[in-house]
Amino acid sequence: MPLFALIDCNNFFASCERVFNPRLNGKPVVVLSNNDGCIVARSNEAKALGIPMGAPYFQWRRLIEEHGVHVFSSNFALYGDMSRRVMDVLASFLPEECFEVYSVDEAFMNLDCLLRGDDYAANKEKILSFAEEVRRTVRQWTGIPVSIGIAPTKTLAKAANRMAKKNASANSIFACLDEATADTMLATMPVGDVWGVGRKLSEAYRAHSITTALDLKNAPEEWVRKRATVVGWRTQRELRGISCVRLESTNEHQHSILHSRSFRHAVTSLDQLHEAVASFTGRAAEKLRRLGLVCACVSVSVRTNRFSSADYFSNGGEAILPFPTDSTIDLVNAASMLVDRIAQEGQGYKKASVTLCELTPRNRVQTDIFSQPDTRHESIMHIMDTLNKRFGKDALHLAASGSSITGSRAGSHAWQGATDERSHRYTTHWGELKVVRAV
Amino acid sequence: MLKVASIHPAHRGDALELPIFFGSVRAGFPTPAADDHFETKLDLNAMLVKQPSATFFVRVEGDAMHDVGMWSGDLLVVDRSLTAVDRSIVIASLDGDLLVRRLRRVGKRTFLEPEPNEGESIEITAETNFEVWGVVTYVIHSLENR
Repeated sequence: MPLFALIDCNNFFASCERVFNPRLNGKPVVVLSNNDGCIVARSNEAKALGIPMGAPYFQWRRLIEEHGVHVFSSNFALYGDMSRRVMDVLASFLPEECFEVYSVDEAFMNLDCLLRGDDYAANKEKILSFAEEVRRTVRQWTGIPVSIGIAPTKTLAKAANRMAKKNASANSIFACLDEATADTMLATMPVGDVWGVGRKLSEAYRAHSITTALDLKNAPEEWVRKRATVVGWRTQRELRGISCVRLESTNEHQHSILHSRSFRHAVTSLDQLHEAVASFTGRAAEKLRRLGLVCACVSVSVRTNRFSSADYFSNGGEAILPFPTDSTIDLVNAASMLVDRIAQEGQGYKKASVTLCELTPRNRVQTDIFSQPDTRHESIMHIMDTLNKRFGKDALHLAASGSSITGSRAGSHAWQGATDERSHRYTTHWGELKVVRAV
Repeated sequence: MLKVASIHPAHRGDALELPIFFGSVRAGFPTPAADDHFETKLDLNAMLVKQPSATFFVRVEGDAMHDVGMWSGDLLVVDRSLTAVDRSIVIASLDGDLLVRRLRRVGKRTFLEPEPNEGESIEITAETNFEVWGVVTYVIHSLENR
């Protein structure tokens, strides 16, 4: 039987800012989305002011200014690097097959690797001291505070993590190893907070007087299966302590790579849109190569401003490639043809996304004798990645991505995201290191 | 979900013309049985960074630590996986500021001392908001333009 731990970084983006700016400790902090439109992360102090997740910044600007809330633009270079550090530290505690990176700031562990089938309840002390060691190490090595929830299923581990955060006496760790503890925990949890229960489903549950997670656990199985399909039933079984969602260890590869950005100013020229899409494709392709994968399809979508509803325009398309590839040249070529197909002249584009799909490990690709990749691309891509790693993003790029990207400064293109309040990229740029005073 | 406008193969025929230019690459001098003598190169990274996920680089401002060979503008290698002990050179988080100092533990008292140590020592008290941010393991000092 598995035993899951969910490790979740507390207010991750805000915590990253605090590592390099301890003055922010105890102060309200919010982080905005990449076009500075919405609030995507809040410190506890900002939550206490009632600022909701995902709220448009302009609606809360006055309250934010009145309370001296510290506002940051997203610093993805920093958050990405800090995430990698946290995950590396966590991964060092267990064999690879017992660890799953779930998102940028969450990971699952299967603690059965540690206990080897021993009774959980009898090993509670051992489990808690392991969790404490994990929490303490991540905090010391990276500066990022984490909370840990432990339970026999992923859904219960998520719920236990919520307890670890809410319950101050839990000291950031909560283990739910027996049914009585689970019931007490689930009784205080709104059904909408259960992992996998979306807004619509939770409304449907509430309409049938299922308001807490415990109500859902105890609801008639037949009814749940009929009303919420097999997905809801699986959630119910997980709440009952029967593990249905297994650990997906990190050596299983990713299924798609998405690169999507909002533009600060509407992009009206098709040439600029082409440049933006080519640049996004380049970024996605770089990631593809870093993961040792190739892709067999590219899709592109573009849209205008959703909030000026009168002339809202959105369109998308997908291209199947003649062979799986990781070459920026092939991929930009395909993406560019898609832009020609889907985009209309005379629109003010606000957002574009590029998705690389049907990913397979590079070394598992079988080549088709009729359509073969150009092997020269491989060495070109290698040079491109090496140079960009050494001289900064976009040191070498395709001309299709626009000729005015020089060096690594953002903001030279209308389509690049706004980064007005971005903190320094302390861990990825020599010129932006943290300065410590010797006085 | 995406609306699929079209599904079609990307033709190789109309490949983009690439404005990337490459000089010729000279092949290396062939060494007989090079594999037999193959060793990895000395890697400064591996020597300076023992725990990559816990290591941060920071820059010093000010000369209050020059007696340990640390000058304004120098780069410091900071390893957060190490536990600070008496006499460690640390980055201290002190009332919201990051400061580099020598940590001294004298009996039950804790001090942050500058080097040269005729400077002003800071005693950590119950009221100080203090935490060791990391332990400094190396100073990288450039001799150019000085």
